[in-house]
Amino acid sequence: MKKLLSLASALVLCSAMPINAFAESAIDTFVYDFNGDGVFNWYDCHAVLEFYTYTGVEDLILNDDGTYTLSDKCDLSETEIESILKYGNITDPEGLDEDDIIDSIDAGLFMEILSEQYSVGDLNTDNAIDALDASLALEHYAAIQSGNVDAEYMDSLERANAHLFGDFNGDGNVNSLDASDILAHYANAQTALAE
Amino acid sequence: MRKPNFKKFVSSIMAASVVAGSISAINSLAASPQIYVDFSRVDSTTYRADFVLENMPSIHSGGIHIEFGEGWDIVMSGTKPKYTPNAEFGTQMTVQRSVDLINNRIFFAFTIDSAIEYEGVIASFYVTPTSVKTPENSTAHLVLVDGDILCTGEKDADGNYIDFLPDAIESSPVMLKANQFIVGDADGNGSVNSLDASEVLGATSGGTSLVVDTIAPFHTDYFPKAICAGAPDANQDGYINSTDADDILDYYSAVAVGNTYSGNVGKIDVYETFQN
Repeated sequence: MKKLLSLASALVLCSAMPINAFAESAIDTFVYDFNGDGVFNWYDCHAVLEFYTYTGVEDLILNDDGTYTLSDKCDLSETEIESILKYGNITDPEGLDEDDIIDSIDAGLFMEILSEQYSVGDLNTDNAIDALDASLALEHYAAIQSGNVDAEYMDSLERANAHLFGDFNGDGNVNSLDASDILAHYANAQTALAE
Repeated sequence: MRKPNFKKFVSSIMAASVVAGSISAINSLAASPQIYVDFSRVDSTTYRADFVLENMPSIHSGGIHIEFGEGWDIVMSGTKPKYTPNAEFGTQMTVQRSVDLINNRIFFAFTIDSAIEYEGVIASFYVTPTSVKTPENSTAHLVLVDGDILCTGEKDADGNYIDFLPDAIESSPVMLKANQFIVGDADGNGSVNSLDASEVLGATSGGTSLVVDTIAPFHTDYFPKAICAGAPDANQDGYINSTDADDILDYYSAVAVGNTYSGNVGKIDVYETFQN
């Protein structure tokens, strides 16, 4: 693993391979940027789930007249809540989640949409598969192997993206093999460009 | 009945059922999703509450409420209940959790990156004993609140996501009480020594092996002073036999001369009694 890490560190300095094709999407995901940070990513899926948990303990009460009531324990901003209320109850590709409830199913569907926005291997979602992605795959693998998995790591974009986009070889796991394959893919692409 | 391990639970039921000549009950039991809490002691003031999921065909997303008895206070981390993911399973989940302190409930919501098959601990939370803690109020159980779901990602003929939570509510065991005990303390005197090994050998004379879950309702017939049926089960494998006596003696002989001991014996654990 040490050898692979050093290789990753060296290659990360190289330029990234553009894969802009993956940035194109039939779904306008801009409206799903619930937290308003300018990008639709896992944090927005997380916000939907958080919305659901606050409704589950009545820290967020949705009133019949369309208004809502917050307790001081609700960390979501009013902008986030209103955005989720407007776009959070999505229908899946078959148009089946028509329950008018924003819950974990919706969060799961947002995860599915998100997973289609980037290529497998693009762990940092910069629309390029490069050595930095390999490094992130290794970091995730190291965290899992060392048992260094706590609530903070669970709530991190790195953890989520590693699972969403890290299984490069499709064997069901994210580990050093994926990192190696990502690096090989990147090296091959760079060689092809040079030729 | 304690359910530390579903396979043990099924095997004990199966043994009883074979006698009764029917296995239909086993099949229906095995097919029903169940969620229950398994407590274990972390230190003198903190206990871990493992949320255990069994018999789901697969798991995709969910939102469940677990209510704790008044013997427990929920340990918080900021404004949310303190939580650790399951190392094997949990890293695949996007998780949120919140707390309803009025009803002493945790609401745990999650979605999996893709539906997977999994049985076991899905998440762990932490509780601390209150001043009024008793075995009877040291419980935790699933409660159904409007909006809660547990689904596999599969849809029914009408195109709706199938919600397994009502089934889980119906089939999950209800915890009646949770006793704290010392592993290996077969005579219930608060310590583990050679007398406990004698108790075990006396109750299992002739090579008998007692199934912990089977004797749980009447464990005092076998171990009159043991706090619960799990106490004599020194190796915590669900069975009480001469191996447990050996383990108790290993512990006692090590501790008596100041050697280190790394097994289960002597540890404090919690034994949950469930109503079927």
